[in-house]
Amino acid sequence: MKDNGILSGVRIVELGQLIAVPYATKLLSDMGAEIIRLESAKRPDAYRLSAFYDERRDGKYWNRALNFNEQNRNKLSLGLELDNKNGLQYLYDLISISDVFACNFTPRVMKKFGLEYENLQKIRPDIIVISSTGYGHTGPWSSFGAIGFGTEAASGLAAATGYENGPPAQPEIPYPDYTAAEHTVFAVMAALIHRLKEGEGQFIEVSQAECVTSTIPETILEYTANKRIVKRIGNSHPNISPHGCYPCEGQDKWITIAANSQDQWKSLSNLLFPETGSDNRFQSNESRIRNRTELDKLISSKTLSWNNVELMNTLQKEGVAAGAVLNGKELLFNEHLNQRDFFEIVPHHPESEVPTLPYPGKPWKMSPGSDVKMKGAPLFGQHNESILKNYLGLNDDSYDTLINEKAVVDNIKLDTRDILVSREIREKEGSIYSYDPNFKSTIKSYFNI
Amino acid sequence: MKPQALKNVRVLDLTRYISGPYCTKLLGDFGADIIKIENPSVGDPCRKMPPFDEATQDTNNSLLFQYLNTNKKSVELNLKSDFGHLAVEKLVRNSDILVENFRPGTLESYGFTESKLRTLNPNLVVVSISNFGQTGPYKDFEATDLIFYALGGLMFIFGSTNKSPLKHAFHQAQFKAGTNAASAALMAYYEMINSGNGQKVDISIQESMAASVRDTTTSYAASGIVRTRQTLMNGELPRAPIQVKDGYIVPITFGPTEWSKTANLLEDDSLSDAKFQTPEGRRQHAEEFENLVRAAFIRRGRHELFYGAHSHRELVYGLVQDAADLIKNPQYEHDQYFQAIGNSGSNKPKFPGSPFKLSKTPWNVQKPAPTLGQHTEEILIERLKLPVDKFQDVRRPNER
Repeated sequence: MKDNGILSGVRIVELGQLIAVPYATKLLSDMGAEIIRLESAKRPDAYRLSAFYDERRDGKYWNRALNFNEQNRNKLSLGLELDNKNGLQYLYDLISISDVFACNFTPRVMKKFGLEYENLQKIRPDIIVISSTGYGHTGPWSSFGAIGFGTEAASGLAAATGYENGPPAQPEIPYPDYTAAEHTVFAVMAALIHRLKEGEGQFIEVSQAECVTSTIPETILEYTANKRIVKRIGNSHPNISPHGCYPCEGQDKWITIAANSQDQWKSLSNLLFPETGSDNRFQSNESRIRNRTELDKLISSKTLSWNNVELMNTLQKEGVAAGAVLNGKELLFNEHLNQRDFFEIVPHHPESEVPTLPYPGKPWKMSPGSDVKMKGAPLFGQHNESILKNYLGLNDDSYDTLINEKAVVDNIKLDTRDILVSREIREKEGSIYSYDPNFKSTIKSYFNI
Repeated sequence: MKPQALKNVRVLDLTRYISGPYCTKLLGDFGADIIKIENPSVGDPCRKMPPFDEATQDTNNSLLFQYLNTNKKSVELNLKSDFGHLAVEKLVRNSDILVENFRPGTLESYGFTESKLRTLNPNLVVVSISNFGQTGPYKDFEATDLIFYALGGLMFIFGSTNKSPLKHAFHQAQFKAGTNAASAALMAYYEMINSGNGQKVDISIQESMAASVRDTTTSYAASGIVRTRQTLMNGELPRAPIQVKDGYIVPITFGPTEWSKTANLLEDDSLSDAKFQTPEGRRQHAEEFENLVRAAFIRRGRHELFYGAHSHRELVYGLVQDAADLIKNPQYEHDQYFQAIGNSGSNKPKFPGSPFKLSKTPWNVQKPAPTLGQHTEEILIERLKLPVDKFQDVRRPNER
């Protein structure tokens, strides 16, 4: 087993932003692939410009941007402006020594820079090229820009999701970006395996909306077979009752419970309401589905006096499916995830002024030695010199010329986005659940970092 | 026909329900040879999961099962019988990847410990998918998709602050874990080609969720802030579906600087009032602003708003589509996304097709999902040449 990850030796040039491509390449870099991120000072990744470590907006805030740092660990950063004619040539040169080129710009932008597959194939015949877009690389919607909140709507998932009798609903993250990224990793691995065996590269076209539709066959099949549009039913399940989210003791504390069998139902009712166990409205799963609203009310009236984690543990001991609804802090300190060493402890470059932090880990565990020692996300332009001189063989003079022409950059001269609203206002509006002024010492002592 | 990326990759599929079958479907649809082992007479419980084709009234013929099991061969085998054991040993020797999603410890209880599998086939990649992983205090916890949303961190930030947390419809957590399992299987297989060593992969459905909830834990670790669900009345357009005349739209802009474009798009003079032209002004008059915005949207049709928005580069509105919209969507039609597969029912349902496109080694559904045990004899007798005299107990179900 290689000690620097099972994908060591795979080099990926990435021209991406936000999540759909960066999360995919993060999963690959966690396993040893080398990712060179191209960055622009004129059009930086939006995640460089919002939400900073300790909310500090001074100095080189873009190196402290927490969403950027979450999506880009273990990667290299090359600040290169493609509107400079030499800049673009260096991108082509980089692609010529790489295995994969990944891009989530619209086809219009790819074409503008000559980054179509047919062109890149001339530069490197066995290159694997990824185009990840909202709706597709060709076709009537291919020129439409998109972020996850839009593709989730288009995919069919939002229409089926939401409170009963309420509008369609979506979570507070660009959810389809992750679904698309997870499928992109599979596509890249399939293409790398084909290339390893046959020596042939190819073009991978990812539509973020279509990836999500592939994970909701239920709604498509119900309609195409039976002409029925699936109704929104909140957390309920069409065939299981009880199946829901119930309030517990404390501010915004909840538990989810699903009684999947008659045995689970008996254990649940014995614990929560032994006195109504024989109520014939709730005798069978069918009658419980029929009387779902009354049953959910009854359960809520009982769960309110419980601590949600205690109730979860008590119910699970009886074999009943139950889970406390964890907020971000509770998830980070969850005993099960931490016993499995789920969170990755990631050090940052000292110049970033971000300390070592825990970040969400990988969605798989492999044998020891399969993955890599974690490095923090790169500073903006951190690897300019090493990539251009060591990989592309530029001499000092031509490198300096690029610096003077501002084609190679390590500084962003833009203001933070005006969507940044102070924590105080967000707290007042209720868009923050809580703020812990002692978070630094809490993190340090819990993770021993 | 073009070659497929995973041709000659042999997969022993010991999975059922959703997460495991989606993993092996991805492998099979891109060319791998999938042998699915099913409990005799009973089969994968997903065979009885809705939706069904109501024209045939056949509740043993799940359309979800048909979707998840394309390109697979079904072999009935009692894993607890001597014969079943012998057959699995032989299959393990003839496979590159084994995928299973039993409860942790079950495969071992059948006698297939990691070291046993390693002895039978040192190259084998073993992928185990389970609710909470193979280790840790929750490893035996019961779960449905709902529980993964709660313990994976997505639920707390989903829905309205004045209501209970919410989850997506259907089985997203299990599909997510299935996709990750397929990627991990290929990574380990790639390593096996390079080094000759197989390895074990542990997939926890909870961790698939927790890995992909942007700045949920990081927001606390990096700024002490615990995020919550959506609040209304903050002077911004909602990043959530808003009602229009004939449906819903998600009015996404890249930042409030594009407010004037939104005001133009909505063609409503009251929104051009000076007090709404800055973020601070909108925030100060948040309730009035929100009421006017909702009134403006409800007067307009969703297609004119959606296509109108996309004529501006900054307005990346989303169109809320249900299944009926998707089936006639021009982009999905252009991509020939929906596919009829086999002879599945008289209503001829259409299935989601290739989730992405590989130009040289495409997705291809050559075989519809198998009937239970359809390939038992083909695989056990013709391919593995197992002794026929022991064949009689093959179809006896596993009591467990």
